[in-house]
Amino acid sequence: MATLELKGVEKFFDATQVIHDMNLSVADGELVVFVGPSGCGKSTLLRMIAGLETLSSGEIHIDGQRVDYQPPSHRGIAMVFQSYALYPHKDVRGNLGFSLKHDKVEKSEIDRRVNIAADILGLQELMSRKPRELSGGQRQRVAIGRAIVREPKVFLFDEPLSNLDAALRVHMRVEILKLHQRLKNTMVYVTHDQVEAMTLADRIVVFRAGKVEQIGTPLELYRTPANRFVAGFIGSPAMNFLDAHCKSGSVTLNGEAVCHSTHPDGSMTLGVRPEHLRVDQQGPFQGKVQVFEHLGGEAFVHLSLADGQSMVAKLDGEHQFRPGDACRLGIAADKCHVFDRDGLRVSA
Amino acid sequence: MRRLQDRLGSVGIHAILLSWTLLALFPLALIVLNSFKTRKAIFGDPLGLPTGKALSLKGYESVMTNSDFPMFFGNSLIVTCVSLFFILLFGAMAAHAVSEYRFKGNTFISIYLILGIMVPIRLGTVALLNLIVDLGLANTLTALILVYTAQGLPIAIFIFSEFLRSVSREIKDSARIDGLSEYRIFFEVVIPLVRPVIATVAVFSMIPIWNDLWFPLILSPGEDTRTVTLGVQQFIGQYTVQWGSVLAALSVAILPVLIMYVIFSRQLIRGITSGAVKG
Repeated sequence: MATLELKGVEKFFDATQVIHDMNLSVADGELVVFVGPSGCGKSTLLRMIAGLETLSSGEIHIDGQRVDYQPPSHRGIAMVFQSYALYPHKDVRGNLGFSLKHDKVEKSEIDRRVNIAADILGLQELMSRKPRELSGGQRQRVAIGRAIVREPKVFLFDEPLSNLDAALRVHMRVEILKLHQRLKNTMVYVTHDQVEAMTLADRIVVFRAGKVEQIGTPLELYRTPANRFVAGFIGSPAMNFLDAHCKSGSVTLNGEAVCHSTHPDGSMTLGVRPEHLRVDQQGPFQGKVQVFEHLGGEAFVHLSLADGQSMVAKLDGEHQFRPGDACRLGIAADKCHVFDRDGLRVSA
Repeated sequence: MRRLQDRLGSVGIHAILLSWTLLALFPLALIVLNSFKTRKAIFGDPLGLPTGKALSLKGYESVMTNSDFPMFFGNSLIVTCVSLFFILLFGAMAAHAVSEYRFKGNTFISIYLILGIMVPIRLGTVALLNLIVDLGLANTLTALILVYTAQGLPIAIFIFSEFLRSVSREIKDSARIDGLSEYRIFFEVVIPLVRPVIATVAVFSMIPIWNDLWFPLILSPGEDTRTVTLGVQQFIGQYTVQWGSVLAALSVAILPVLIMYVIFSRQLIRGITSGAVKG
């Protein structure tokens, strides 16, 4: 049982407020991902949970106990850093056992825990190597192992995969997911990569400029984004936003009716995901092909609509277009997202 | 054509470096060579080799037997080593404090700490002498150690803080999460990461202390507290100078610095070439 609770947490750097009234509770065994563009305060918040930054106001509770006055080592957390942060002068075994040795844990117990972590992460072959003799992926595994041996209540990950190359990142992502399924620990994971967020998270917290934009499961965020920012951030390629009009409950774009909405009459924003568009001779989106990218199994077509707005559609690999071709796309009405002029979602 | 130019360029550079090396080594070689010669040979043929009749070890004999030279040597060694220890310890700690922690007046303090680079400590000799006498430390090695530590700190802090800034913040944070105290983070995580810099600072600080004549002469000229550089003066009388002994003493005095330099040099080169500061 290890829950994490943030109550009214705020952070100022001098006069600048970087975290605004943050309230969040993470259930036992839950993997919560903080996601947002760089500089949005997500890493600062994680460092505050870890105890590396002080709180300007608010409380942090781990496992029901208030911890925001305690030093990092007493909070029952372990953190994995982006740059691995291994001790360069210690070998893998030394790195794994360092915190336990410092806590005066018995030698046999240290060996036991280090060996368990090494088995989980497949580090047994590398135990006597120095960090500089390891590859990036191996270093990150050691960093994760160092967190595991502490047997923490809460794992904190600060963009742990950002320094790895693309292929390794996918691999390590799966490793972390497996680790979570095996250890069933509460985890908080910070990333700016929405794919990592979607694949790993039980729940995602989307940040912008120190404020929470939306909290929800990956599918909730994908299907019912609360605003334009979340809609544009979750999903790849990003959602198309088109200026459209609403008249007596019907959303029209360039004179074509697209879907229905409760939005009052006037201008609004229509959001359509590239993967929901399909070629449809009766469809409402009519335009000229600007660029056509074929990826084999799928293809991206970049359209310029009649009124000059551009949009991207993800089609299956059967289609072939050349720049300048006319193209007409359609979408199921229930896949359309409607946002008002403030960018907030209008339910259908 | 291009290759010829490259080769000419490299020959030119090496010629310049070689001639500079010769120039720098010449006085040293002269001291060592002449320390093995008779007084007559020193003046008769200063550049000659110590062979045949010219060879004499009398200088070394008188240094080792007829004087308190071993004691002077010991004094120098104590003063240099203890000062060096304090310079490295306090220099690294101060640099760690100003480069690691955010606090009010941080910039002011870092500037204040390295201001000493620009002010020669000898300007304050009179005040220092008064202070040392008032403290009752005149004619003690402690006086020298205190003054040399103060003299060495500014440049040490300057070099250290440049390098300590480059130590990854995440490693220190990671150690904090592992529960290390700030002192242990400094000694067990930060210091091992900047070992080459320690060698650099050690060499830069050590040589001026070992070679100094000014402060031993003023602060501790007593019989028992003389350092090597001051001790050599006893061979320079008002009417006669025992050149053989002077040169022999100087030759011996070169040795410790040379040994330390050889020990540190590999680290030193790495230290100089790896950072923004080139000494």
